[in-house]
Amino acid sequence: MESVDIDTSATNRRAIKQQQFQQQSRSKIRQQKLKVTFIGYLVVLVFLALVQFIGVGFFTKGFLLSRNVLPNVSECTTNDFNTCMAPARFDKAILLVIDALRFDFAIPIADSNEYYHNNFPILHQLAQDDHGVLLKFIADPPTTTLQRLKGLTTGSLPTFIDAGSNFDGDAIDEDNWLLQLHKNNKSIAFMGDDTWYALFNHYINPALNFPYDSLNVWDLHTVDNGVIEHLYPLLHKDNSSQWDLLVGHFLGVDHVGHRYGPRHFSMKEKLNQMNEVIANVVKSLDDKTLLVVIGDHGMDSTGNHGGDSPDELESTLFMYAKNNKFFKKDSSHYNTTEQGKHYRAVNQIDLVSTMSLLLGLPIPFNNLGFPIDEAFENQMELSVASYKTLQQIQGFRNSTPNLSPEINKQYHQIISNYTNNSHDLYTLVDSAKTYQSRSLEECKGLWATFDLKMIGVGITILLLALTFILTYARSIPAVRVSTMSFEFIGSVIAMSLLGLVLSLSVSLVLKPADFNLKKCLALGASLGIIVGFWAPIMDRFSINWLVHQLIDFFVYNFNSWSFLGLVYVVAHCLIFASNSYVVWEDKMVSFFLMTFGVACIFNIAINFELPRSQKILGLSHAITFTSLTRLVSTINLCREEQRPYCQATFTTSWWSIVLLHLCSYLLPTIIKSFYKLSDSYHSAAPLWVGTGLKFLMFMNAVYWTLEYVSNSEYFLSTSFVLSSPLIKSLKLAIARIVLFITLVLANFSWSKGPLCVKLELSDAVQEDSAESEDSDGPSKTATILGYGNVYGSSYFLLVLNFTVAIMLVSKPLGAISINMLIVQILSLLELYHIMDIRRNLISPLIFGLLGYQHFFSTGHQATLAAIQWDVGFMTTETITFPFTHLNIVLNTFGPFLIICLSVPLITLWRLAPSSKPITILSQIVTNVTTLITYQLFTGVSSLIFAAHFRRHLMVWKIFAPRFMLSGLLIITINIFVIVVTLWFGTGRVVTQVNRIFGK
Amino acid sequence: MAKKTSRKSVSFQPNESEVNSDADAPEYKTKVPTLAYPIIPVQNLFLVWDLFRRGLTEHIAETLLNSLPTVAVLSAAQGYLITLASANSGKKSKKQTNVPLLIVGSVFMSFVLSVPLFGAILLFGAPLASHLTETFLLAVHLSFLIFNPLLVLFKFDLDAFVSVFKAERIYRLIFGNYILASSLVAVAGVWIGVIPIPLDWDRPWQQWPITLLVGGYVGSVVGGALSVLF
Repeated sequence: MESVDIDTSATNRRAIKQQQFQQQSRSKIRQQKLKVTFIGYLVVLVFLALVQFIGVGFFTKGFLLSRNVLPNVSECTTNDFNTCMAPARFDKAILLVIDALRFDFAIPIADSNEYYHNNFPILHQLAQDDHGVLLKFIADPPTTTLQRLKGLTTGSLPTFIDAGSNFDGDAIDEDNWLLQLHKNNKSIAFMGDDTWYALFNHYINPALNFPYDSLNVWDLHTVDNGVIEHLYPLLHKDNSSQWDLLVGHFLGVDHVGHRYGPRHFSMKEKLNQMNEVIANVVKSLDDKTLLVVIGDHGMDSTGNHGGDSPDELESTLFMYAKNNKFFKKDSSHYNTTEQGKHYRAVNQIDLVSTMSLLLGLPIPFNNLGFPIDEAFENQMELSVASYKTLQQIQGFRNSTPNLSPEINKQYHQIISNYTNNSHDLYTLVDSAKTYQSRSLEECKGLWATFDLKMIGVGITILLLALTFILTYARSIPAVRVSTMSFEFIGSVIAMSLLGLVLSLSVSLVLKPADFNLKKCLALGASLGIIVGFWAPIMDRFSINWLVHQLIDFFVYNFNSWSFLGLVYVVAHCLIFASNSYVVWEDKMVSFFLMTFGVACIFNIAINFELPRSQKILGLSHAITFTSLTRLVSTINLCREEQRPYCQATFTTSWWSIVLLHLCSYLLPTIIKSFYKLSDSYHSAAPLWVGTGLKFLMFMNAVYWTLEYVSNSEYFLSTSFVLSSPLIKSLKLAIARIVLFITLVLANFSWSKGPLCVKLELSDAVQEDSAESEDSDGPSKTATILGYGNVYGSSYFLLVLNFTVAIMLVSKPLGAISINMLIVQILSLLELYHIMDIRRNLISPLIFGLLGYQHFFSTGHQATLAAIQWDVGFMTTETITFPFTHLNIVLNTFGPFLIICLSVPLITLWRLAPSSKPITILSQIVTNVTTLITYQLFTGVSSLIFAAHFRRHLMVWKIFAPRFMLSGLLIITINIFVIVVTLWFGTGRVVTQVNRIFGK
Repeated sequence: MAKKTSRKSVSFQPNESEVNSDADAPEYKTKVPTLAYPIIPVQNLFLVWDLFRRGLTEHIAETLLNSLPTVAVLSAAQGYLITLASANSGKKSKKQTNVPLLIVGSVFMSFVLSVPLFGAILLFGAPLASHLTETFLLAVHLSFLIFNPLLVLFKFDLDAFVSVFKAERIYRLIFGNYILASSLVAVAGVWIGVIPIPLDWDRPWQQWPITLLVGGYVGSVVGGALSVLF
């Protein structure tokens, strides 16, 4: 606590008045100067952010190739483009998917004792006569169930992100044969893996829909037993009229693979069980029903899948009909020696046209596959089928731009051959096949090839931005930077205009093939901005000087903390070099933080200059930080690749709800005690923390209680007083109120400048009688409580505003993790103060790491599957543009937003009003840009490694999602830091305090 | 008496912080005992080899437990060597030191100190729900590796140990001292030892806590060697 004495004696009032006037005009000038400096910083950061965005944009363009999903739906017509085959060969079909059924599981393998061999013989036995056919079934990578199901129903090649796919990313909206069945008023029964439900819930008959959770790979039996339980009754003669297509998806084999790997005796049990199921199904099959058994992908030797190794791609296709015969080739095509290496193989997407034609449906519009030869009765029928498929493929090609005209020419050639009857049927079908495979190859090339030029340009721009921002943040002294802003702005504007003009003329004159006008302009602008940034630096300093600056850092300013910080940055960048470390990033980040915590404990323990009370306080903060970090690290959501070494703890249970209620009382108390440490729990603080925070956190807890109650079986079974519509509207109301108060109302009132200080008048203590002689009469001393933390205590209230909003949209354990984050931040700030490392580069780095840690502990992972889409519907019942998206952004990036918002506190916490606000501002900007630099380092590293590993097995499962996280983080952090942290938060608090206390 | 002071001597632990800050005489450097000739804990390489020979990768807990007597004996022997080396360099300390008591006491204390070390390892992120036996045995091994030489070197004198951290050029002091260097690098070795664990190589030696143990043992030898070069 510090105090300022205000002399209230009346003797020389006039002199004071004049002095005040002078002071006022001086402070006005100073405020003006502060404002100008502030704007300068902001504009520079906006330009820097622009360069980064352009870099990320270029990389994304080159890396994430998207396919345009055409919304067209095929129909049975009477004109030339009719792709329906009438009459249908089969009325009904049963499709049994055995997840991860590798091809060698289903064929006889001589002299093999493996558990996965020879335990599922029935398919091969049934395929010995003309009623059944067994084929090798080649999947397209990525071999994950969701992408496979899309391929198996639409006949297209799913890319990582299908442009035009809708909001929740799952439901299929392009033409597929389940949609066609539904359109023709056929009934689809489904049981098994709930991925189907996510994709096709609109088409499945609601009365015959039995989805089971697919993600629990530890559970080998629930899904399979569920399928069997619903399958047999539906096969019974009395019920078989209820459905036209019956889909059953078994997961047991896949789960055995994930959990134990294929070489485990459970695999034998599972395969034997499947054998029995198929036997029973065949027994009860009627004459007009087609039985199809497929695997959606294979598994590698460890039982996992996702990549493009042969073991993962080779799956099984089996078709069987009691009465119909298949048109089989001679037996040399079905050679089971060498684990079926030379066995006849068909593509997975070929199933689509086959199924459509067999069931008399039009072939889905986007299909690229070719009908399977064996599925038709004779060569005549096959040639008709291929003719229909040709027309459908050409129809698709006609609606898709940029496809090769040469292949289109081939189409017309073949069609004329068909109509002339000039060739025999075998040649016709063969020529149709070459056309289809050429078309398929072309589409694969278009949709699955990386654009290395774009990737290179993106990485180059980002690297250039990185070198500049590194120089800007850490190399040039902060004081100099503050005076250079307008030089930067001037040269940046000039150079970027120059860049724009140059690139415009280049694009108009040279017309580069790969760069359209937009790309040219973006490239020109970004290079211009970077040159514009470097020009003033080169003007004022030289490379030599910068090198010396670097050497100076290592020679003079280098200590153990900086060393640790550099180790963290380097290690965090290097983890992207290996898929294992990306997968385990959550543990690595926690490990870094705990190392820092223990280093703090150690540092304070051996610090001999600290007074005893400070030392004890420091130790307790350090211990709090470390143990909270450890505690937070126990909350996790396992990603698929972490299994079986990871046990997910991120679940909503009754005790997490209880904890939530407890926290709504505990956190305000803890914050209060931190405020009391700096004697700042006055005026605005009790209102914000004691009343507002407590109330809103309680509302959050109530929201999640309601959510829990409305989903809990126990409460649903008892006749509960609250009806579900009431609960629903209550929840909506709470969520809307809390978000409105925290994001709008609280921020508005914060912008009016609440301070956490109090004037305390007391009789002056007459200690120094010599000094108090000249003032006659009893003088009073006014003490300003909370003076020593006037910036920090006020600014932290803003952090709280956003924190409460983020807590609302986090699931209960996530909210608890954010509670701990707030305490971690506060103890960290006290620690920085005690250890005096505010200006060390490690301080913002630790904040960055905290952001990552809580990203993981709020139930996220760097995968698409871990995005918590359901929170999007907290404030609205349907997708409504800003609200749904706001919720998801707050939920996903919440911890990072809190961190970005708290970074200025490194400088502001426990800082008494300063007469040099520009210095404060420059320190804040240094910390903020250091955080951005760190983010950019890890981001660029993850981009580079994603591009490097673009042919890696795990690119779509591990590297690409991580790159997307990095790219989004670069964008989110830049925007949030500039708009909220600096413009709204820091700007206001610094000018406000300066206006009141500025001398 | 010995026990009381010794508990304080672990300054790696948070609760051992009560050091008297009033003693701020400038010549702390003299308090740090030096050795007359280098002692590099090469026996630790033998220990690692022995652990793997006994089948560390198959029965981790058993092997770690069974090798503890060997560890204790080797630690005692190393302690004896350290007393010999320091006895040669310092003159006056010789008569005060009860060598057998010092060695036995430090072996015993190393065992006791493994409990707080166990807590520290858990704090660093060791699994809480499983592998507790292995983690504890790791703590015992590391305690012998790190604390035992320090206890013998400083003869349970906490002030002397604390004075290390008051030195001007702390890293120069540490790397100038064989025992301090080997202990510090051993700690760093354990820290680095976590790196291979997440790799998906599915090797038996990636099991918890083998890499940490090997990192520590190898680190101690590297540290000793570094200080000789220094």
